[in-house]
Amino acid sequence: MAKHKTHYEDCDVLVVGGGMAGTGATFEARHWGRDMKIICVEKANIDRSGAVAQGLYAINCYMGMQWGENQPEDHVRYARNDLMGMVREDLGYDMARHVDSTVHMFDEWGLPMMKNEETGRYLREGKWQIMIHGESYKPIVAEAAKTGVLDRSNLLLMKK
Amino acid sequence: MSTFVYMTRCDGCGHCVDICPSDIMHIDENIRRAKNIEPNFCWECYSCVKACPNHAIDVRGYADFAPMGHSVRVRREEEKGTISWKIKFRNGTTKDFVSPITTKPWGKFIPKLADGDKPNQGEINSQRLYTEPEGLNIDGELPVVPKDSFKKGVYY
Ligand SMILES: Cc1cc2nc3c(=O)[nH]c(=O)nc-3n(C[C@H](O)[C@H](O)[C@H](O)COP(=O)(O)OP(=O)(O)OC[C@H]3O[C@@H](n4cnc5c(N)ncnc54)[C@H](O)[C@@H]3O)c2cc1C
Ligand code: SF4
Ligand code: SF4
Repeated sequence: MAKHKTHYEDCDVLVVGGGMAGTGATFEARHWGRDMKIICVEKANIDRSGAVAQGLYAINCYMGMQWGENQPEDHVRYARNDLMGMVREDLGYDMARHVDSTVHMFDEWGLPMMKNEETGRYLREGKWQIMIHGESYKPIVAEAAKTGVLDRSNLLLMKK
Repeated sequence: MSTFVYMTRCDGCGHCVDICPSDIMHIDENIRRAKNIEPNFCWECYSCVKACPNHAIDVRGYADFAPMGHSVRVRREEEKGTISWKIKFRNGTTKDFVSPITTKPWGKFIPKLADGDKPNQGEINSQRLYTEPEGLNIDGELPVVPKDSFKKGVYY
């Protein structure tokens, strides 16, 4: 067994785990708290850590509010039915109303999205899912957490 | 199933050790080659396979549907923005797939937050996330509903 040394750091925001949620939260936290000390601790390499390691081939939830496809209320209704009422509707609503702007950022950053060439709309494989070529989904988002944030001296990404 | 390493190809560089999300690729202290120390914890995510510069790592198929003689090889090329797979079936059929992994030069279109305008106090107090409301591509503001319109459920 390797010897472990405890490392002490003070910070304003501590993000535990740099999976999809953690790297996104780190990026977002840096936008709102420019002068804060933000630490994201991750046990593996953020380029591949978490459930997105192998790449994903769909974004399981996209409203498409810009084309009137779904509204956040529709998603809350769907989730409530699907989970037989055992849902926090406020959290479901909040996630649904923010998801489109997040997906548009991924598109802007270079995540390959499948689109209908005539209408420009994202191709769907169901009411909520849209199709992507997502082998590098995590490396792209990790890049955002790194280039958008790591150049600042007060952010630490700990690898094992 | 899980990864295994062709010992004659591995040079012990450790790229697979660095990238494995499960921390199960380790360098054997005696022979200085990589090995999967916990095959039953392998996600078959192929992160190590893609990261190995010597193509020394392979993934064993499940015995029931890929008993022997098949292979799945992969090459990820960040400069080209592609991932290529070669699938060999037991009967000799092969299939090749190439897919894009990015549409833009790597990392160039990710904003440098430190260089942008700082959000003001009004924006900080709002319910918006970064790029909102413009990034939603809709006319108007981020949708809101009054909190008391939600169902009173088990958590309230
Ligand atoms: C095989 C598979 C296919 C999927 N396909 C799709 C799909 O096509 N479309 C889709 O939208 N969704 C898909 N999903 C779901 C999606 O990938 C997950 O919901 C999402 O990645 C979860 O992100 P997360 O950040 O919440 O959690 P995770 O990605 O699990 O992140 C948690 C992070 O915390 C780290 N961590 C854990 N413990 C510690 C600790 N003690 N200290 C430090 N760090 C720690 C982990 O290493 C990890 O990086 C799929 C999931 C799987 C497993
Ligand atoms: S396939 Fe994934 S989980 Fe398995 S050893 Fe390689 S990197 Fe680790
Ligand atoms: S990345 Fe390949 S060559 Fe390097 S240690 Fe791992 S198996 Fe060996």
